[in-house]
Amino acid sequence: MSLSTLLFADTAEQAGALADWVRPLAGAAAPVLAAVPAPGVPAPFAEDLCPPLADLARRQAPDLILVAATPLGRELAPRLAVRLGTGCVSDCVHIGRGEAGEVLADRPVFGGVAIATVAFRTAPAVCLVAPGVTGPNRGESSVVVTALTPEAGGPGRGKRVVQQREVERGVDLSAADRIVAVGRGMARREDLEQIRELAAALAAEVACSRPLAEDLGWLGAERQVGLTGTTVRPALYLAVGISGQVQHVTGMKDSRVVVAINNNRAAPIFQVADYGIVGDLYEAVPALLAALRLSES
Amino acid sequence: MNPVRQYMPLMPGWTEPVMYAVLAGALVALGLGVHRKLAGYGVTMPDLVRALLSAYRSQPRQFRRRLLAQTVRQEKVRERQPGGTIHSLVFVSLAVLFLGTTLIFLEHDVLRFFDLQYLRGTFYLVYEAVLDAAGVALIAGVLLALYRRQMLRPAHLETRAADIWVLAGLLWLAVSGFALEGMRLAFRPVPWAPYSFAGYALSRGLVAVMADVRALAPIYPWVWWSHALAAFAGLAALPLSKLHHLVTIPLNIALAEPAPRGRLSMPFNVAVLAESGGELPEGIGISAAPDVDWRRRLNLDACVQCGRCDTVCPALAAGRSLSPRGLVQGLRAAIARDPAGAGSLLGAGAVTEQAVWSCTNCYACEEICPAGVSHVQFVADLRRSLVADGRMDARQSDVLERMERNGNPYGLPSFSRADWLLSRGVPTVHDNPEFEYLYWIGCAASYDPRLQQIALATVQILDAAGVSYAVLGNEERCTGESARRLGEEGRFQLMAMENIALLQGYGVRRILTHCPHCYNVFHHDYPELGGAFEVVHHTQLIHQLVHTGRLPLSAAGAATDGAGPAVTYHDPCNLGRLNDGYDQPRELVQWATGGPVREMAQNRRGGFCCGAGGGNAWYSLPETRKISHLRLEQIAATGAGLVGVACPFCAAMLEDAVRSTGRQDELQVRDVAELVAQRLVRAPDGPGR
Repeated sequence: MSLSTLLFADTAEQAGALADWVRPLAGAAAPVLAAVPAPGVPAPFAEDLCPPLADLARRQAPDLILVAATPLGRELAPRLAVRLGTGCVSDCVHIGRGEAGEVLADRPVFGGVAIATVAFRTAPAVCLVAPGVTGPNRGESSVVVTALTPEAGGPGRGKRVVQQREVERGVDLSAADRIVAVGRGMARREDLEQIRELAAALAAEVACSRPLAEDLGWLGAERQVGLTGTTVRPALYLAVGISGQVQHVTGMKDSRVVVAINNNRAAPIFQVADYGIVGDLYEAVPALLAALRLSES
Repeated sequence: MNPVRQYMPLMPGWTEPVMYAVLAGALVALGLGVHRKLAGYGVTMPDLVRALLSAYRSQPRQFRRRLLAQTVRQEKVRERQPGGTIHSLVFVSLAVLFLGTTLIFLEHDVLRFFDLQYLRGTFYLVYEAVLDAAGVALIAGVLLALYRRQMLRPAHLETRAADIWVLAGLLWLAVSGFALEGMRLAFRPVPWAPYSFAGYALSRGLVAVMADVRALAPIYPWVWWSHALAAFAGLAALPLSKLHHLVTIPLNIALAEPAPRGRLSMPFNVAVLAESGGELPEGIGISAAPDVDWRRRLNLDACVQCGRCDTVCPALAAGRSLSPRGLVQGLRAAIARDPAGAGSLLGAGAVTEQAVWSCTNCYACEEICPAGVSHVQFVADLRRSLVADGRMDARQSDVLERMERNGNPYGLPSFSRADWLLSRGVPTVHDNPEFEYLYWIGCAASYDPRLQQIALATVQILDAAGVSYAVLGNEERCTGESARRLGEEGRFQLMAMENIALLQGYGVRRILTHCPHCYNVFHHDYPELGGAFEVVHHTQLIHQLVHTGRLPLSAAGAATDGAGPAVTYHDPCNLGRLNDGYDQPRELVQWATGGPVREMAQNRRGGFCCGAGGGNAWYSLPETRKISHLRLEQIAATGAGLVGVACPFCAAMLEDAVRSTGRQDELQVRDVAELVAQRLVRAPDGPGR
């Protein structure tokens, strides 16, 4: 029994990604209906998109409404659920069906240490799914895209957009997939070049611990990882010459794989590291770089 | 010789009625000014009087004591030099001159109807001498003040034209008074003239240099009127000029709430609301002028801009965009401009978001403030409204989220919080249900491997002394202190209520903690939420153990007395200024190291923050220097090779400063418990029994 699904996303591209993700549940054959904001409205308000989306949902009567968890989607989904008299689950990582055919949504709880499965008692089931969870649009599903025109003079009439600005950001560590972070074990500023080379070879961003950014000023504050810097969750975190003060560990403990290079076997960084090299970073880094280049060629 | 005071000599008979008419005009102006002031505060005179009476009735002795100490003896004003001495000169002399003038008024306008005269004989001679001395003191004080403001120009002192006008008025009052006295004694010498020593000297001078002093007679009435008018103008200008501090500071100090310093106000109480079914207040904290009630407007208005708070503020010293004086003055001016304005107070002068987040809640400003201004409570209330509006940066909202989600500000797993401690056999409340002290570890020592040493040292001491204790283990959670200091009142209260339920569930009566932040929040904030525990800081308990001889001293330790590095001690704000814990940790440091504590330039009540308080451990702000580095320089200046601390946050901040300046070989940072533990003979028994 396939699950009739309605999608909402900011763009058709995102809608395709949602459709690919939900395909095993929705069934391969039928095209999925997706709604996106009509072009020409630069910054639609969720409260104005909600009434037409609810109308669409009532006409289609889907079992499941998947909403891309963008800022707009996050605001829209709960409004929609209230309007439809149903429930809403945010941060879904998996959607399944129960024995009675009810929609089951999995979401992380307690900071990700556990997964809760939420069963919907009402239909449709409104679920928010982050783009990071769906993965990219592989174009495997056929999607019928409808443009939603925000309700003119709708509930959002009390607000208007007064300014739109691009967020200025040189480096976004929180989005980086691989990070090479360097700490106080680095003796001279010039030696950072080695770290940059290593990062380039790994296609990684360069990051640092607090002293290098705040006290020494070798790297900008936007590259600082830790309590008073950025919190990162890369697939690979290579900590070079970082002792692993709790203030630093707080910012990187959720990295998938942590590799540490430190000359002190007792350094706390090894407690959170999956792999460790006890040794001089001035020997280990060139050796790693050589090995990487060898494997490339 | 029958010395007697002449009333209004050398002036025509119509002077008196005209003078009283002008005085009446000045009094009317004074009355209007006071009325406007009160309207600006939003309080009526009867309500103000009622508030004063109730403040007096609730604690009459404290009321009298604080007024006597801060407005009569002016203890805090006199603490700092040269401002203190200058202020005393002006204050005492003006008080004497005012009293002297009142005596004349009484004699002439009241007692003469009863045919009484007291300004005669010996009393009159003393009167003349004292008033002349007061006049000289006033001139000296005002000249020194002018010299300080115009020549020395200390950075923390902002001089506006009004400041100079007030000083100029006072100077003219004194100078014209002496001119009148000198002329009078020159025109009509009396045998007792030398008692008016300054006026007499002036009169002798006039007689000496002038062929005929009578030539001055035509200017006498002009000088007389300028003297009278200067005095009346001062009276009329009282509510309009900085002179209003003569009234606002005593009022502010009289009305000061008798709450302990370490306690922040509680805008709502979740427990009470849950019980009564009441609703949370719409907005909390301070965002616009109407959020500041009349008492707090008076509190702001008590500020005379002496700038002393700026001289001790660690955030200002570090080059952050916070000036406590600027914050208070910014709020005061914005509210005075538009007392009912709905616009945000943020952005008014120095009142900026960054200023509000820059405060480390060290209370150095409040400690030094002679006017009793409550800077930190204003910061807390501004933060509360920012948090309510979601105006935080990610680091602040992240720490709040981690506190709720993980039960600690680091965001590290709560379920393994105490593994490192329990693996050493430290008893939990289940192992030792009959415990006397619940040893509260706190988040810093739970998660920071360096700070764990403080808890382990404390445990070692407890075991050595045979103290019965237990820990909560992995059930312990953050106290919520940082949430409260960051302005997240609701989250703090929920965390506190959970903790209280947990602690009461285990029958806890006494809490021992080595963390002054936990100590302060348990001691001052938890009781309002129903959690009344006896709270003991580890320095207090260890001090008691040492002095009752319950700690076995190591002979080896004693042998090293005086041989170790020179020591100093850093006061944690939450233990010192907030809770008066100055002596016990010092005695312990001294006892444990054998050396005298070399005091830093800023110590005890004047101690300088490490930079971690008020939630500042969890985010960073633009600054030119780090607060911890500034403190490190003060430590280094003592020549000490060891600094004792009594707070895990101070330990972490200072140790970080040591590391990042590469002074690991020169300076050790040790908690008092670590120092004492080094001196112990190893405990023979297992832990906790």
